Order: sequence, then C-alpha cells, then structure tokens
Amino acid sequence: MASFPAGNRKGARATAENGKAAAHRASLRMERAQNILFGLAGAVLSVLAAGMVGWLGLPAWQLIRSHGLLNVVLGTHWNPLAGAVGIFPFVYGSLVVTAVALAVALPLGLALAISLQQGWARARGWLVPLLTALGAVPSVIYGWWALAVIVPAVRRLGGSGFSLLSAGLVVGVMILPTFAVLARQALAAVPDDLAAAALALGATPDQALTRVVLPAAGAGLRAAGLLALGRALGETMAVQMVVGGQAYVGWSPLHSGATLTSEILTDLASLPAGTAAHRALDLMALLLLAAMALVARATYRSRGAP
Amino acid sequence: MGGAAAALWLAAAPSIRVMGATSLIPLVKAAVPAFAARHPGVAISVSAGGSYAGLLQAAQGHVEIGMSDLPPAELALPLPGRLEAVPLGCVPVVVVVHPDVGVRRLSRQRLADILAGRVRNWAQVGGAAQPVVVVTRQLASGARAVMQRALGLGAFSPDAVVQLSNGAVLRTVADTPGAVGYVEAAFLRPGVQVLGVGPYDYPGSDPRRWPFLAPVGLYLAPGAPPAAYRFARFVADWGRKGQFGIVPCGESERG
Repeated sequence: MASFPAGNRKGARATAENGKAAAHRASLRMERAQNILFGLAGAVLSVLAAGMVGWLGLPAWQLIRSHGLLNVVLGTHWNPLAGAVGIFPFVYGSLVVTAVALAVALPLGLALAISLQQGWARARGWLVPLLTALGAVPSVIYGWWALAVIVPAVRRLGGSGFSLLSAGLVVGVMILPTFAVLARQALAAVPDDLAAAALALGATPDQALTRVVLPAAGAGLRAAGLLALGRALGETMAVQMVVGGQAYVGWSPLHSGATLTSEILTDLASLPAGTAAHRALDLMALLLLAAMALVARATYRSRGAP
Repeated sequence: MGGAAAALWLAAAPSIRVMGATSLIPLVKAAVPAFAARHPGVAISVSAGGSYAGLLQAAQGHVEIGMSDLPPAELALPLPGRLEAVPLGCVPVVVVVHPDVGVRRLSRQRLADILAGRVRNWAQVGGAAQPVVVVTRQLASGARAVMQRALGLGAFSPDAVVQLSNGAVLRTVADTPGAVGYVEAAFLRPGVQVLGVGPYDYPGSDPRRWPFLAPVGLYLAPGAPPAAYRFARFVADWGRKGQFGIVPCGESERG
C-alpha cells in the first residue's frame, strides 16, 4: 500500500482518484477485449457451421434436384454403384437403434439416479465417479465388448446376432452412465424441503418421489434424456461393429441393418465425390446434422433457458 | 533465406507418400528400410485407407503412390486421372467357414449359391443343420471385387453381415456358428476352416491355379518424382515379396 506524508492529503486523494479512474479504464479495456474475443469465437463457429451446412447442402441439393427428395428419403433400395440411392433403410435403422437404446437407458438410468440420490448415500462417493468414467470410455471398446457379449446373446433369439437389436443394446449400455449421472444432478437440484413437506403432510416416500420430486426435476430430466438421445443418434463405431450392415426395412429387430452413421462409415471410401452415391451420403450427413440441431434446441429449451 | 534453405532440403530429400490397400501395408512397410539403405535421404510414409481411396488420392496427386488389390479398370466408378501401374503379383483370397459347419469343400456353383443367399442352410450342401450366415466386405474392398467377379455374383446375400477389414471378417466367422466369409490369405489365423473350392485346395494346390487371385499393384500418380518410380520398382523386384503372401499371377481358371 502506498503511504503519503501527512501534509499532502489533497494530493493523496487526487492520486487515489487517478488510480481508481485508471483501474476503471483498465477494466473497460479488458471488457472490450473480452467482447472482441467472444465475438471472434462466435464468428469462427458461425462460419464453420455455415461452411459445413453449405459443403453438405450443395451436393445434397443437387441430388434432390436430379432424383427428387421423396424418392431419395423414402426410397428403400440402396445399391449406390448401380445408381439406386434410397436412404430410408438408414433413417429407419437409426430410429430403431435409438429407440432400443433409449428403452434400455432411460428406465435403468432413472432408477440408478433415484437410488443414488435417495438411498445409496455411501455408494455415491465411488459410484458417481465410476459412472462418469464409464461415460468417457471410447465407443470402440463398447463395440468390442458387444461382439463378445451382446452378439452371442442376441444370436440365441435367432439370426446371426449382428442386428439392429444388438446395436440398440450396446448403444443403450453406452448412454446409460451419462444419462444416470445427469439425471442424478437433476434430482439433486430439487430442494430437500419439497420432499420433507410432502412427507410431513402424510405422503409415503413413493408418493413424495413420484408426485413431488420427479415433477420438480422434470426439466433437468428431459435435458438429460435429450442428451442421451443425441448421443444414441450419433454413435458410429460401436454400431458399425455389431449392426450387420444391410439396408433393411422390416419388422424384425433381429435382422442385419444399418444406421445413417454406420453406412456413411462403410461407404465413404468407395463412393467418390461428384457422384449421386456420394451426394446421398452428403444428404445422410445433413439429415443427421439437422436432427442433432433439433435435439440441441430442445435440450436448451427444456433447461428453461430464455 | 530460411525458405530457400527449406526448399533446398526438400529438393534434396524427396518425400514419397504411399496410401491404399491394407493388405499391402506389411509388405510396403518392410520394404522401406531396405530401400532406404540403398537410397539414403528419401522419406517414405505409408498409410492405410483402402484400395479405392489409395487410387483416388494418387489420381488426384495427393499421394505419389496408391496401393491397390484391384486394377483401376475394374473400379465401378471412374478415376479422375491416369495412373501408371507397377504390378506386384497376386494375393490369394480364401473362403473360410466356422469350424462346425461340417463342410470342407464346395463346388464353385455351390459356393456362389451360398454367398448369394440362394442356399440358406448347410444341410442343403451336405453339412450340419445350421443356417448359413454370410460375412462380406464393404464396396471399397478388393477381395469383395475378386469374389464377385470370379463367381459371377450379381450381389451378396441380402442377409449378409458387412465387416470393414480382413480381421473383422475372421473374427466374425470364427465366433458365429454357420458363418462363411472370405479373406486375403496373408491374414489367415487359427479358429476358422479354409474351404477347398472345386478341385483346388489352399494351401496345397499350385497357388497360380487358385480361382480367387487379387492382382496387387502400386499405382504412380501423374508426375510422381523419379524416386517414387524407383521405390515402386524396388518393391516389385524385392526377393521377400513371397513372405507377405504375394504369389505370381497364373491364369486362374475362369467360369
């Protein structure tokens, strides 16, 4: 701290005010710099996003003009080297795999979250970090595990085991930890007073949970579910390893199938840019991008953001 | 000054990028040190990506050499440029089945019926009463093109399982009862049964008579530097080629 001679109070005050003003100017400068940085980051992201949409959208548009949107999106015949570019089997495969995955992950994950939050206080200390770690395991490891465990188990139900069901199950197991951790956070954000009040009014613990705590955590739970949905829709490697790889539309989940992501991975190297077949892959990527954007928007809204 | 020095250094040390078929990577990687011992100062990098990707990158001039196990003329889609071929020989593609299917040999026609999905149970060809599970490769695969051409297959079974590499096909066939697939012979591992086809056995018969041979080669980009030509010729004439599963191409019986 600066000290001043006793006979120089006025000067000291002036200096202090000067110092304050300098600090204020410095903070303004810092604020401007931050604004410029954030603006630049936003601009870079916008340019990247617009570039990606344009880069996929232009060939996709050419395909739609030459083949017709409905013929491509609802076409069920995929033989790209012979010019058949119906991509509905992959849209269908993505929907089936995502539905199976959510059917596995949502009930189990919610049960896990409730148990962690309300019952297993002592297990929380190690189980939550364990779940977080499981959520970060690379998907190729899950695929490898699925080849050894899920595929033989599904084979007992019929077929080769390489199927839409197997892919849905492995993705369900993959997104379960992420969903459980996020759902627990949503439950933890509900004030304890709410449950205590319900109990004091004579509600049973189950009633307090289903009528008070779960509705109060609704927005957070929906956001967690939507994040799980996004991850299921985008999963590629683990799906490709066990899904079978056939363009299939039909009622049997035991049949070999393919998703938008797994088919892009399989065919990308063999279909050169500029052909209708490659444009079909571009359109598939664009559909995925659009679906992800919708999921992200819904997640943002369900969190109660303005 | 720095730029000029870097340019001089680059000119003195030509860099050759090789990319393409996974089946050729062990051979080409092993040839690099042997070539470097005679031609010091040449930097060679080798990467995978599949035959088609290798040919495409070479045709566009992004790499100096593409590795392929199918000739550019047989690609279903045209390349944007002309490549100069340096043939290396042929790689046998063998048919493998799960050990429990109870079949050791198939006629070419029966094999075609099975891979196309017309025969759906091994009992129909004298094997165990097990459903057939066809395991195939993706469109970019050279082995797939060889099988399709040699057997006159229009398409593989609509129920086939598609795997992206020789290793994944082997693992799937070894683990799945009733499975049948095809792999390049250099990748064979225990756990699967190799089928005889018609009168031919692998190994056993003269490899030049084997019905499924993938012609492998290095393909030089238009305007590739002389060092790239020298390297391609070196690999083609290398005495250790045979150790990597490459055999001379005979006239394998067609039909």
